[in-house]
Amino acid sequence: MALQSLDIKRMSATTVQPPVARSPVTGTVAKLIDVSKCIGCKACQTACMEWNDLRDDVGSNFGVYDNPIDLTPQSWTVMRFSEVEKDDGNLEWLIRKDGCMHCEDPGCLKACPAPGAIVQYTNGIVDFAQENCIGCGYCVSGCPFDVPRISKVDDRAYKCTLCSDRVAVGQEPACVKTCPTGAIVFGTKEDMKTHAAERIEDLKSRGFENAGLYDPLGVGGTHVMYVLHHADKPTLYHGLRANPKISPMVGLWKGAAKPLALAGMAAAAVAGWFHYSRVGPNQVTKVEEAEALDAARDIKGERKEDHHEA
Amino acid sequence: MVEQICGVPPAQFQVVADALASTAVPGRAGTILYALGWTHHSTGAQTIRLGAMVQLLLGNIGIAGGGMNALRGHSNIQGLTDLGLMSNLLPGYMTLPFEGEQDFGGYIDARASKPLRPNQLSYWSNYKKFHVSLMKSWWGDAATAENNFAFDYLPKLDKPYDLLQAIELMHQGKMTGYICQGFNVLASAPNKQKVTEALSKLKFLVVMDPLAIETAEFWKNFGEFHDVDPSKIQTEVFRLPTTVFAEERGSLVSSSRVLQWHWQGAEPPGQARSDLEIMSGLFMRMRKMYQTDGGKFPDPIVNLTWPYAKPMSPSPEELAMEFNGKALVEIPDPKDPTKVLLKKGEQVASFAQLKDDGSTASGCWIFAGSWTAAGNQMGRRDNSDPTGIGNTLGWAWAWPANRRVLYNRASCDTKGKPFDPTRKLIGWNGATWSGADIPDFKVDEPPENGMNPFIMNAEGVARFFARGMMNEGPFPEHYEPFENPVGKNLMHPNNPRATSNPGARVFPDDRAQFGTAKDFPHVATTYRLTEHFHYWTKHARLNAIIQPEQFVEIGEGLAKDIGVVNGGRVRVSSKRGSIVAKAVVTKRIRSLKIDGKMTHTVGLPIHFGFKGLTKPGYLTNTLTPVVGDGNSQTPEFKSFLVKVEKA
Repeated sequence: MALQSLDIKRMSATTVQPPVARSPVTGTVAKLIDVSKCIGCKACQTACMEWNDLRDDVGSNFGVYDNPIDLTPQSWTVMRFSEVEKDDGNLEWLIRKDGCMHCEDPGCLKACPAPGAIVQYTNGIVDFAQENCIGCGYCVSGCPFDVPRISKVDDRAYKCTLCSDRVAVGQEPACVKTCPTGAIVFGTKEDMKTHAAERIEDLKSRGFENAGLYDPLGVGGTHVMYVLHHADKPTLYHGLRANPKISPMVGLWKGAAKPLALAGMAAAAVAGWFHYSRVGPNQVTKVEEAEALDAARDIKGERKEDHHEA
Repeated sequence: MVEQICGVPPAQFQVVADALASTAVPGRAGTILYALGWTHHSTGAQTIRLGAMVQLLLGNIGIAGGGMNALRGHSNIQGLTDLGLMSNLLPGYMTLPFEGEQDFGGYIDARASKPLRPNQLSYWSNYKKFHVSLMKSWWGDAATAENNFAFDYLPKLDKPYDLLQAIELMHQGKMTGYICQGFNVLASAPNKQKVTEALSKLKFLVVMDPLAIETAEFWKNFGEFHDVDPSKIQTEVFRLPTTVFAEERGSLVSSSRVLQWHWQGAEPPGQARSDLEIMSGLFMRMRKMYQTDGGKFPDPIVNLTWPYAKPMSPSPEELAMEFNGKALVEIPDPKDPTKVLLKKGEQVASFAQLKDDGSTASGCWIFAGSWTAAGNQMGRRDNSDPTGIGNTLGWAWAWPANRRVLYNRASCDTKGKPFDPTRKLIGWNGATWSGADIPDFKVDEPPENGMNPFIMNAEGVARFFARGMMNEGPFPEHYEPFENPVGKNLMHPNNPRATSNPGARVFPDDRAQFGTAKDFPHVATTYRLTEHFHYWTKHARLNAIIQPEQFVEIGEGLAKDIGVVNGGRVRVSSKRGSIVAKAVVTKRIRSLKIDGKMTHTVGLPIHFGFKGLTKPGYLTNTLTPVVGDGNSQTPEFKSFLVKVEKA
């Protein structure tokens, strides 16, 4: 695969026109995880920690192989183990490498109110720029896969970068490089789809008639895809969502509501101008000011109660 | 009967048998890869022999993609046996003489087997050449024809001195010093209590290891995990920190016999030294003492050749060249005596050039060819595969003679034509044998002369009937583990002496420590996890993060019986001790119907202990019984009896 630029295609909470003069010649990139080839060795977790300078705590066993038990600001990928009993009495141990899916239509980026804290490169990678993050957590609720985690150390959001620093110099992500079974591969999204098609054909010939590719349309497709032996039942794989979509609240916040809000702001500005030009500057009496302060305290009090309920 | 003994339903057994049997045709190949799951039994060697017999019957020996392949537990365990580091071996699978073999000629004759049938190769008939070359390599000018090439220097064994024997001798107070090199014996040997007692009786213990292992602190109290009273232990312990593989150069031998050279990746930390430097330092001091003070029999020590440029620090390159071997005098070409085959001091090109008259030296005959006059063959990195069947003769170097598939003559029919032309290893072209691999055969031997493929055997064919090679007898037989849930051998229910392997050696104290199904109704088996490597990686933070705490695995049936849920704590006890750990309740471990009774199994991942970065835990060998395989003495870690309770 050719070297990739890290030109930004989209940036959170900003209207600056991104550069468009060039685009990746080879198209976007993708990581393909073939769940049927995974042995759950967690070498990918280790390589991720090594490359990205992450060191999670030495934790505890919780009665399962999964460890660390969940994604954290220090664990950007974890293996999810599921034991599934089939109708014929046989058992399948389904092991899914979990982490950021790098959605083409990223809910985190859409939800993010901090300018430039979340970017999407022209190669498809969705990256967090922690220096711009305000720790609001909107990306967490915006993510259909429950991936970002807020660090208690600096109140900023962290997740898999798809090793954008490696990809930028023509290298595959660290997890791909280390995988001993070749379950994780990396290349252009087109090549990965071709490779997946071959794998699916092979799995079908081995009796997995519902083998298929997980590249969900609800988020515009993803730049991390799975080959599943049971693509008809993704939830078997530790609850992988069948039809992930960006939360309607994010859609409302950044979709339909955004032009309304802008229109409202514009209307307010226009009204203000008319008010100023016709009536003159506002004069506030001391009584009016005291009433306003009381009202503000009330609002703050209400907001506190809201927090308690949440 | 199979179902009754091992709990596998006949239909499932049939699926496996059908798949294996389908490889009996020329167009298909089948391989068997085995590891500790087969070796950690009192009948391990017989099980592997049985696998080899099946592969022979299926025609899967000597062909591309076939074989009976050991997957080794360390990157260089193959190298360990190649170099004869087992107590009864010499390098290159030669053997030490027994006590009764004081006569050199008798020792050689017993091993240099002559062909038993007409025109067979019987390659071990060259034993003397390999043996004399080894002795010349070790003792140089002190090994002469007159002194039988220093045969008297070799120890003569009264019995095997394997790990279990050594611990037994320590326990009896008969072995009083122990050098523990790269080996965490407290964690790796069965019955930790016995090992602790044995180490406590030593006068000294030397631990050479890159890590702060449990063995070096066996005398310290670690609470419930290792409860000893240091004031009662007088053993003097020396710790000599060593380098790890990445901090040194050298060769590693894979289980496919490929010697691959590796280069140093980092400098060792602190005062760590390589094993070579430490052993050399010990040897130089001991030799000095023998030279000045004498001793009962100083000759083997003071006469040992030590030709290294830096005697305190021999280089891996010097050792590798020594293993390959060289000519000690000028050697004429046997085909044309006016020509010189090897100049004095020249590296031999192969073991075919070794002599039994003391004119050649080779530290390990099977490695001859690995470092020739052309240089280090193990460092080669040409991965071209001209025939496309995956044979890369230019990548590193494989013993013997860079051959990649042993007995590859068996891939051809009696006329020398490959059974499967699409996977041709070698073939007869009318004048010689040639192909994608180095022929494992006399290269100019016409097929019509009737020489058979199994050239290491005196009869030229493989053996279904083993004459005196296996302690249990000529054929494999089913025996139960020494601790088993049935209490008898279902194939011989009325013969108590045939319950477990009669060829296995059991010390009386250890037999007294065997439990029965009445007190210990559950079957235990130990194994490894993908996240960890033995007892090493619990010292590495990344591995500790991904699998941080000891656990045992039980099936849903047993969990229900004892009232334990996922993540709850259980106590696992055997006659020898008990451990407490978190429980992983899994569908992967199922109860088996053995002899009509539902039998539960508990799985014990081995990696945890009381040193390192993982949460402190118990060594699983707290539980395991002291009994080994009847031939190799590999401990029976894969099946023994325990009781599992809610803790």
